[in-house]
Amino acid sequence: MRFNTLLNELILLIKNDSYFKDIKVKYSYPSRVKPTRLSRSYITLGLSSAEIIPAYVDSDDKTASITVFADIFVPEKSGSEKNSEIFMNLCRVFMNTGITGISAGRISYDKNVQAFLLETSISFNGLLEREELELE
Amino acid sequence: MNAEHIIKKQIDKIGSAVTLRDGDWVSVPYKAILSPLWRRKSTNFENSVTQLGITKSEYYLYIGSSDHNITALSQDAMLEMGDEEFEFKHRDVVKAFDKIVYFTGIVRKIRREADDEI
Repeated sequence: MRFNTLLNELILLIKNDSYFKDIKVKYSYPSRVKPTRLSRSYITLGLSSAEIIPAYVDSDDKTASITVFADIFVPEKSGSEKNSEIFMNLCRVFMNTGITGISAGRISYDKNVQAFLLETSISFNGLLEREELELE
Repeated sequence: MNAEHIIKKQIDKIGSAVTLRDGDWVSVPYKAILSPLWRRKSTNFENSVTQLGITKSEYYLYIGSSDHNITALSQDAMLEMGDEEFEFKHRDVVKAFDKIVYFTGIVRKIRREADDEI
């Protein structure tokens, strides 16, 4: 996966899996109005942390450690057990993608969104190609 | 003329045409008053921003005549006014001398899901 298109690639990877066809997958905090009643589940992705450091001493090569959050929102009517089901399917989708870790926290209820929320994060670690760090 | 009829007459005079929808059942159009509630909470002017988008706090006070019992409807019941839809957040009955005078409630404007991509 490339550093500068990582989020897009992740979103497409999830969307292309048949399990997620009825689940909305999108960037976190979009500049549009949220539907009042959620009719389906959502996964929102965003950058959680990134660290770029020299790969070796006196080297121009860089390695990147990137953590992306993928928060799972499930409507009240579906029940919080759906959060776990979606997370297990996220694990399945990412199993063969070279991630260094995937984790989930505790399920909570988000009053503003009116949905059950499971916060998850996915970590990547890899060597950056030089052209990825150069401006186009 | 009793209080129930006086209030019904006033609602019919100044109210807006609305219908109730509960599943497949739709009421006949009738008049009700919807009054925005943001004035009552001075801190409620701003929208809140959530991970799924901007949440609008569009709450209204509903006042409807005793002919339309909103408390008997299911949790999924909706109020429609023109092109706008509202969900009931709270429903109550106002009585005087053990007789229903009018129904009141808090409704919230429904924002539908946009078919947006990434």
